[in-house]
Formats: sequence, structure tokens, C-alpha cells
Amino acid sequence: MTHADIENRGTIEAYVRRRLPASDAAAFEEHYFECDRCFADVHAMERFVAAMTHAGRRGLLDPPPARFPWLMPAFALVTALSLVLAAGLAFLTFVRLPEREARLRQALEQAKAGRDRIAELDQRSALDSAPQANVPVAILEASRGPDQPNSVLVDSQTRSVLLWIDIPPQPPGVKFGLAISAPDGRVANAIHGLERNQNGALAASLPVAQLADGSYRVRLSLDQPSAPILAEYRLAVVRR
Amino acid sequence: MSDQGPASDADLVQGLLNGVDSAGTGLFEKYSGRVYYLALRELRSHADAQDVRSETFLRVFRAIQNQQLRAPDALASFILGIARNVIMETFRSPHRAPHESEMPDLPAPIEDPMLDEEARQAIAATLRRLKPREREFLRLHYYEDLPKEEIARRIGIAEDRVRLIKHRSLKSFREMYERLKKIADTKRGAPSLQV
Ligand SMILES: [Zn+2]
Repeated sequence: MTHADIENRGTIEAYVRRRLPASDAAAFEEHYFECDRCFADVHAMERFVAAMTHAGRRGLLDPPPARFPWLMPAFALVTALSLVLAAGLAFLTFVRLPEREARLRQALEQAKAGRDRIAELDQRSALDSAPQANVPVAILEASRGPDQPNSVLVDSQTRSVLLWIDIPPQPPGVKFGLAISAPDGRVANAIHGLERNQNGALAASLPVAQLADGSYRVRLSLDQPSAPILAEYRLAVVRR
Repeated sequence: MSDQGPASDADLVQGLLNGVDSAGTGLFEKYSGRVYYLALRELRSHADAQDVRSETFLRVFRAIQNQQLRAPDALASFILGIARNVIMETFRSPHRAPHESEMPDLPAPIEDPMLDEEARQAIAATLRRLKPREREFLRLHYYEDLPKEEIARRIGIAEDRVRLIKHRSLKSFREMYERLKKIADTKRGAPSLQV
């Protein structure tokens, strides 16, 4: 493992973000236990990635609200061109911008309606499938550590498992999302639009056909962009 | 030993075998940061990482004194092996406090143990210097965790540009962090000087 390899392959970031195969990660650990430079780089990268995630959660990476950059040079000319500009502005403000905003809002609502509908169908199918004997149920509890994950037994016939999470009462309309990530940190699945059901829980159907054996992290958050993580669960998928 | 610069692993091991006090300190100073980091990475808890560090060095010292380290050149790897065992044992320990947050009534984000106040400030300062499109890239890459093809499709950003943004923001973050850390350490150090 040379420094050129480490640099060219982006090993440090991949290690920190758990994207390296276990054998490569172990080899890199052997390396940085001996190498001061790589250890300093790993430590800095770990902090950097944590800070980026924190920034993402806090919305610091979000695009700024739309402003009107074309107004800035116009201000410099405002004394000379006030009349022309006033006319132009009046046109943009009263005619063009509301029109564009209305179109945007409409598009957003359509997108949201589509998403809600899919989420509703997903959730219904999850609930419908619950009583069937061959759908395994995983009741997720946050208090379980990595040593005793919530485990679910599946066989070759199992197409999905029902994830069940008890949650306290919520105001109406509050929706949750789940992100399921593999041991290497890759997001394996994301489920949106979950609402607390009559039994006081979130129920979601998770397709397991493409999930390999192993321990997964299930992260619960409000179903909004950049929402903070409310709880994290471990789910071990075990094949018979 | 200390007046001749950093001691080699072979010197440290020999020193420990000869009962030189500073050898233990030297060995701890050289490797404890790595053991702590590895434990924190795996266990996500400072309390657990501290326990792992203590237990690991206890075992390392004992093993060296019992002549269980065959080649002093392999000291780093030897410490890593012991640290991994202790981390695994801690993982399985029934007494280990769960770090996951309980389901709260109010949203409470899980705080990353790798983050400190200086890191929060350094990232805010770094991001302020970037263009909106660069921040957007960082969001899609580090936060949304999208594959690079998808990011390229969304914001049409070339591969070499991607490397540059990552490199520049990491560099700025590191510099800012180190500066803030120095200031914080000075502040923290000041009252203890009066004691
Ligand atoms: Zn190195």
C-alpha cells in the first residue's frame, strides 16, 4: 500500500465512509497504525465527513433562497435609469414572477401528491401483508446495541419483511421516513411517507430479495429533506 | 531517550523490558490516539473508547513484559490486533450502554462523537467561502450520498472539478479547525496556569 495508491484510489475517504471492502479496510488500518501522515489524514477526514453530515442536517448545504442577482448591477445604474428600471421591475414583479411562482408551486404540489400516493400504497400493502403467516415481522427497538440487533429470519420464499416501530403519539399529518443502510454504509433502501398507525406504530414493508445476510442500520427521521435522525436501529437479516 | 528525538519501537519495547518508566509513556503517547480513534469509530462512544484504550494498553504492556511480542518491528500491528480484540469484546459486552437515542417525543438528532464545537465552527466558515453550486455538490455527495453519475446528471459537474472542490474544502476545513483548536486549547489552558 503506497501513498500514491492511497491518494489515487481515494482510500482515506472510502475508509472513513465505510466504502472499503473489509480486507482493504483492515490493510489500511495496519498502514495508518504505522504511518503518522495517514493517521493525521484519516482523523481529519473523519471530522470533515462528520462536519459535512452535520452541515447537511442543519441545512447549511442547502441552496440559498432565490434572490435576484440581476438587480445588483441595476442598483448601480439606478439614478440614471430609474424610470426604465421601474418599468422593467413593475413588469417582472407583477407579471412574470407571480406567474413563475404559481407554476413552480403547482409542479411541487403534483410531485408531492404523487409521492404521498406511492407512500400510502406502500404502507397499505405493508399493513395488508402483516397478518399473513409467511411475512416475517421485525420489531425494531432502539435500545438494542450492535451486539444484540433486532434480527429477522428469512428464507428463499420471503419477498419482504414487515418493519414495525412503536412511536409516541404524533400530531396529525406527521410523516416519517426510514433509510436502511448496509454494513458498508451504502443506502440499501429508503421508505417514505410513513404515518403512525392505529396501533401506535410505523409499519413498513421492506423488500428483502436484494438484501444479503448481514447487519443493517435503519435510521428513522421525519420525512423531510435534511431532517435530523430521530432514532437508529440495527436489523440483522439471517437466511435459513 | 527523550533528548534524542522520538524513540523507535524497538527502543520502547526494550525500555519496557528494562523497567524504564518513560518507555511506557512513550509507547502510550505514540499509539493511544490511534487506538482511541479506532474504538470511537467502531463503538461511537467516548466512554467506550476510553475503556478500550486503557484495556488495550494494559494488555500490551503485560504482553511485552511476558515476552509475547516476538518482533519489536511489529509493535504497531501487535497493538492494532489487541485493540481489535478489545473492541470486539466491548461490542459483545452486556454492560455496554446503548448509544442509540431512545425514541423521543421531540426530534433530537444523534450527535456524532467525532464532532466537536471547533469542527462545527470550521465547517460553517468553510462553507461560507464556497459557491452555492459547490455546496450543492457537497450536499449531494456527503449528505444525500448519491452516486457520482447521479450528481453529474443533476448539476453537470466534471470529475476533475469534483476532486478540486473536495480537496479545497477539506484543506480549508483542516486549517480552520487547527486554528480554532489552538485558540480553544489556549483558552482552556489559561486558568490552569493560575493554579
Ligand atoms: Zn501513510
